[in-house]
Amino acid sequence: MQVIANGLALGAVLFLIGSGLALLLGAVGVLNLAHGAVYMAGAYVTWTFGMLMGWPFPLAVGMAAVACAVLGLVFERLFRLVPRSPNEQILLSFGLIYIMANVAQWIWGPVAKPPFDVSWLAGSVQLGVVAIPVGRLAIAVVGFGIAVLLWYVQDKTRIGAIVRAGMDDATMTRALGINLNLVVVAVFVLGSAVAGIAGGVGGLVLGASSDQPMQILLLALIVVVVGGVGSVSGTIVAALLIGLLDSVSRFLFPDMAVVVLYALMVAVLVIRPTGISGRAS
Amino acid sequence: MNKDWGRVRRPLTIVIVIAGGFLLPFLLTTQQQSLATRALIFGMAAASLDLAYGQAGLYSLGNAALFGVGGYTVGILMVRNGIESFWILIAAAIVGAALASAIFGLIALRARGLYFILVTLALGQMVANTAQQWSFLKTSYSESVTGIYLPALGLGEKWTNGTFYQFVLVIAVLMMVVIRRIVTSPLGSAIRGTRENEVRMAVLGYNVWRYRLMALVLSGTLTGVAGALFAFQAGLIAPTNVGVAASGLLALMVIIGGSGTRYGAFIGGIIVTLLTYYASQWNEQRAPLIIGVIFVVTALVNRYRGRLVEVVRSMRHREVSDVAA
Repeated sequence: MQVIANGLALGAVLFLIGSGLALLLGAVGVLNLAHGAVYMAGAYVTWTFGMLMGWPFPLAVGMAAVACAVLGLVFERLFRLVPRSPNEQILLSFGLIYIMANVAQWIWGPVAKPPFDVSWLAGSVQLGVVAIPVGRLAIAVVGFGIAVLLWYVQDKTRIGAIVRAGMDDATMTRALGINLNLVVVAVFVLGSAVAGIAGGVGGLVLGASSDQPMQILLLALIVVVVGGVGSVSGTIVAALLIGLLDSVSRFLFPDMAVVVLYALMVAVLVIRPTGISGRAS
Repeated sequence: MNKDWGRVRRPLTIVIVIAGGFLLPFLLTTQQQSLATRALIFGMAAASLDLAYGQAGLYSLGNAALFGVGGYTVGILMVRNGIESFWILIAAAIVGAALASAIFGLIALRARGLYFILVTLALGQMVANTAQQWSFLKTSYSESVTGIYLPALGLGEKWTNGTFYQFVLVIAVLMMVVIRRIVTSPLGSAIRGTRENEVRMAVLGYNVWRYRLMALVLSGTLTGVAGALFAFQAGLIAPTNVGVAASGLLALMVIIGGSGTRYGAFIGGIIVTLLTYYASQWNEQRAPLIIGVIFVVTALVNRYRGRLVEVVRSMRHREVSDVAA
């Protein structure tokens, strides 16, 4: 049960990260491998405000979201300089990973920050025979709250319709008089803010470290490959599946846990290359 | 006279460069010799990655893993089984890397476009994670395979840093010849065709998937050879030589040198190896920052490469015409 709670919390963090990556890839056609670096920035900003300066934790996470939204704006400007060229996008995102990880080490020191210790999120609630840590519960609540919000926006509102239309046929959408540039900026800013929130709440379990850009990126891209892009529900299912699978296999055979995730990815690719709910590209 | 000069200029330049490269160790300290060896090895790795990257247009971010398969194969055989013969070891590395890249290709080619990149990246990291976790791939209580030494050729050779450099140079020249042969062969044209226009190639009766797989296997196998040489030279092979960051550096080498050009990737490999070495010499802690800036600048400037080349060419022509006048 404890294992499942861990899995749900990890799944929630993975959803927050993976949804940003999937939106960028699907709606904007940008391969932003530096998305994990935004997560790291969110974790460090939350640590600075929440732990170092002692602000209330939700406020600190809010600051992380704002800081990462600004970061997203900067990223958008940079990626705009290299449109539709995977080569340059790969190099640019690798460069951003190197720079941000090193700057983070410079500012916050080479030693990783331990999981954030927030007094009112410590302890656990008793649910029948099992005790679920409040911190993990909080992560799951935030994650799935945002998931429902994103799903509603993308599937039920006009804004979502515009994003989906841009994904399917950018030229036609532009011809209808819709400013797709604005959509691109919005996706970058929103995706980065969500990644910042993920870094903040994820820090309750994972802390903050300059290794995170790569670690988180890999988990996020497995989520994207498994879930496919273009639908929030696919990302949710994939994130949950991977979160649960990861914590269950860590529990059962700790040595080979990582390989299980890749095996899942390979299986999905072989059976259904577009992912669980992917649109045909 | 002028015409003759034009005909011999390129071969002559190549001969001079190779001869110069061969004599280089006499000018260098032992440490510089091993740096030069490493530069050649990464030049080879980048040139072989460019078979997939530049020729087939398949942006593989998992090639460091194939580099690692070569390195781990020779490392394990040497340290665990005591095999010393270069020929046996390199054959094993070639077979291992070919098999691994075939598996990589079969999986990754299920995805297309940007997803192909994601999948190769994940597969590469899978190999790195396996190397990290599996105790078979660690020797003498370390996190990597250590205790690899220079192999025996069976020719009564006596290894020093200088002679091993010359040996690696010979292999590098051979590898560049092989790569040239592949690129200029009908197979090479077909591979470039699948990059340029997939649909047309399919309509012409080419099996696009098969040519792509072929490009990936050729590229991966040659990368494995470079990895084996790296393991000999470094004396160890570690998960960090295999992971995503290493693959990113390989991509940087290819693009800095100019992907799809004749010797560009090879030269890019040498440049990036030297840059990273001197960056960490200059400031160990801030070196990643410098490397990151190199990445970003390359990304932003790369689009203007064509224009830059034109400007340089026109300047050269003006010089020539000035002299003529």
